[in-house]
Amino acid sequence: MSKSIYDRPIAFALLAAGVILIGTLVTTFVPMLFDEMHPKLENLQTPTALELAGRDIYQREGCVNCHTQTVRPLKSEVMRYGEFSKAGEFAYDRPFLWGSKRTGPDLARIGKKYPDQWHYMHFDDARSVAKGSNMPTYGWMKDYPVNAKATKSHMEALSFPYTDDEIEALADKNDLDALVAYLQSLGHAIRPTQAEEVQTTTLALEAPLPTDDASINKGATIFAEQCSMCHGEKGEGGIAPAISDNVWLGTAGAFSDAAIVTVIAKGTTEGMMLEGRTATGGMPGFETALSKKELSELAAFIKSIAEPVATPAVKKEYSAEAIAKGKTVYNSKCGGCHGSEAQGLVGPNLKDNQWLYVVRDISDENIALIISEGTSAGKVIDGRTAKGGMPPFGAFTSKEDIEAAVAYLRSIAE
Amino acid sequence: MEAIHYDNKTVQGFIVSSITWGVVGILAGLLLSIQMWAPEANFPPYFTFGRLRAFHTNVLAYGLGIGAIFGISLYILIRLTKRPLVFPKLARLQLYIFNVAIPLAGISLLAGYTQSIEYAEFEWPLDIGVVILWVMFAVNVFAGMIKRKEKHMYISLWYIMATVVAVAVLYILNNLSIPAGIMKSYHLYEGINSANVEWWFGHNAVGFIFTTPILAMFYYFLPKSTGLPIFSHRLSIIAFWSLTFAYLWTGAHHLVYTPIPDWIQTVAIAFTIFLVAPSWGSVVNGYYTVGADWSKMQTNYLTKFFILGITFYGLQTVQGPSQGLRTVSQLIHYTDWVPGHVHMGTMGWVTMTVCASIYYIIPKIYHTDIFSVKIANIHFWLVLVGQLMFSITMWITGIQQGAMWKAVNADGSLKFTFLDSVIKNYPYWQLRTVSGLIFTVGMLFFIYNIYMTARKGNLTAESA
Repeated sequence: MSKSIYDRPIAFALLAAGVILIGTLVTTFVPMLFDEMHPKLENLQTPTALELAGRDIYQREGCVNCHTQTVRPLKSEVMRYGEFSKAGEFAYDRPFLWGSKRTGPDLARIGKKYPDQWHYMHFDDARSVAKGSNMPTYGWMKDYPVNAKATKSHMEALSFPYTDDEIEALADKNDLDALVAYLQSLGHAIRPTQAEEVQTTTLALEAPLPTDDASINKGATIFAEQCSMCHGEKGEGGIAPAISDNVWLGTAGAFSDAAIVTVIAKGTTEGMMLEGRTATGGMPGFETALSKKELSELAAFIKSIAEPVATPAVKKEYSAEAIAKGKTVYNSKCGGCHGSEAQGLVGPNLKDNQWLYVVRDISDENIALIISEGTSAGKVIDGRTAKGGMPPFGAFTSKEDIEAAVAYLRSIAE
Repeated sequence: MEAIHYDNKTVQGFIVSSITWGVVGILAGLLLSIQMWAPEANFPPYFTFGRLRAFHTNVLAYGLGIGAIFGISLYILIRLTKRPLVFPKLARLQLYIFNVAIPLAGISLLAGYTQSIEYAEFEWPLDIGVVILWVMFAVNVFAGMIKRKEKHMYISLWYIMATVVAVAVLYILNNLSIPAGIMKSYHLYEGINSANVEWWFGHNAVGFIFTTPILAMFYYFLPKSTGLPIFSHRLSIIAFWSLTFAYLWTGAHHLVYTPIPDWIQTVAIAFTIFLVAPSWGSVVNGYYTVGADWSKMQTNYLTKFFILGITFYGLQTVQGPSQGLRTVSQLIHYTDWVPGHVHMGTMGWVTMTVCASIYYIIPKIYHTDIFSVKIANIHFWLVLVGQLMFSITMWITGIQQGAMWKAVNADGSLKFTFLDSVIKNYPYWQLRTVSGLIFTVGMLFFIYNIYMTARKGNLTAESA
């Protein structure tokens, strides 16, 4: 009997190597020879120096251990995250960062979903915007400047185009800036398609928005939990725009109930068009977080604080006569609390151009409204929240007198 | 009988090193498990979950895993070739380099130097270190094999040779990269190729670090410690070649539903299902071997380590292929089910078999008996309970997560936010920390037992 393979270690090892290489070549290395394995989407851009610096940091911090960057073509996944990942989106990715575990959500479509400031808040303290999250805090990265020299050599190693200005600009940036820039770039290759899809969608309301106090109060609770971290506690605006000012998607004026619900449910993307307005993007959708009923309640609350519709404040010219009349009304009915010079006494200062504690112009109609109806704690007028304490004068003051008082207040405002 | 110089000191050195790095890796794992439910347990910049996770997996795979593989393979090699190591000084040098490389590698990961490809995170200078160590190991393995005094090459030697060859191919090809600095490089392969190569490596790293060398130990120490011959030589041959052939086709089952071409996914899934057969070839061989005398489970304390170990291997190799199926992958991929699966393999199969092998080796090279069979039994039950609790809680919470991600309302809209699914995990993640603690205590019993055995014995280079 000739010597068997089991008696010849080198022959055995060579045979084993051959057996190992068959599957290796067929499934992994031979496919590389074909174009199918080198797809590139038309809109795919190489990263900027800042974005690559951010990607390096994403790698350094091991973000890939908790976040995936590939949306599977499953219905639930596309609903949750957006368009499923395409092979051609990753042509510049070395290495791929798809990950294998979702301790946190997928990030393939995170780009432009939130404004930059949201990310800074979230990195500083994830639990301030996502109660119950187990994400570590990364605010400390603000103390580390971006390594411009290393980034430049990395751009060169990967043959990515860059300008000297781009590299110089890195001097003012820190690691967190770079990471945010990278996150905002994710999914950019397919983004225009997404915007088009959202353009036509306006949700049909099943029923008119509720108007009862109970529903509006529920809406207020939802607002406090889900919206206030970005839009401000009273909707006065924060990292996201004010919603109490009746300006919708950057344009003042009426916005239908259905459109309000649509924005809350679907969020906004850059270029998304709704009722003649074009969004700049940055608002995430809440249709998963909130039921249809909750969406209506929230929209009802938002309408309640955005109303009454503030007409653009047009400064009226008042006659000297009206102002003089108003002064008389003021001295007899207002001065006791607000001070003879309106400098503030028991009631607040009335000539500092603050109206209900907000430095923003208010319409004459709303000043008249405050005088005639008074204020109560929590009452919202023109997006401002009153502390209460002003009695209603409407019952025993004529409309003319009130208008005269408004004229006088306007005349003394600084 | 003539005494042979067996260089037990190098073997002992690797075993002690392996256990030491094992403790470091397990403690890192415990901290990670706490960070999952207590984010304040992150200590930036070095000890955040993101950095520590790579430290945990690499220190255990390369420190505990490869350390044990080096030591125990050399022990097996010199006994099956019936001759001392051909280059004993080389092996000793390999031990020293190993113990410099592992801490450097661990520190580099905590410092944030990583390629971000799983189980191949080390940056290129460390990769070169790993390759040097592997070549040193390969030289002794093949030199010993060529100059062997025993004509017959036993099964364990095949598995060791296959390990040497496969790991070399896998490690080198996946770590090819574009250098971009002294501790920075970018994967040579781009986009979907980067993914395809990495998971070809990633899956086979499991195949040729956590499977073939551990099977080498199993096939050697099971008959040695029970005195029962391996049931079927022919079955082991069939299992060996089919395993070695099929494993390399299966990497893309980690990439189901990703943008990798569909045919690569499907081929991978098909071979993955096939892989049940050779895996169970070894399981059946183990069962029938002990089947000759099941009373060994009671009379020989090591038998239950090997049988439970191979049982977990068997469960692992049924669960794994099931996970490759598209319908199952949909539900459990990216969830905590996966760490549950991995830890059954590492804590159940690998650690159980490695510990049993060390229990066998240490008394032999110290010319004594095990310090306490009772402590070994306590160790056995603690790691068994700890590992089962770990895996089962992760499977439950993994299914829950996957189901919550897919759940829809009557109108087809999603039922839960991602955050809802995170919050539901907390009790399970806390229970996992408890399971890990139980496992760790079990390992401390093991270390104490080994330490006391060594203390009462006498390590000599000579043995028959």
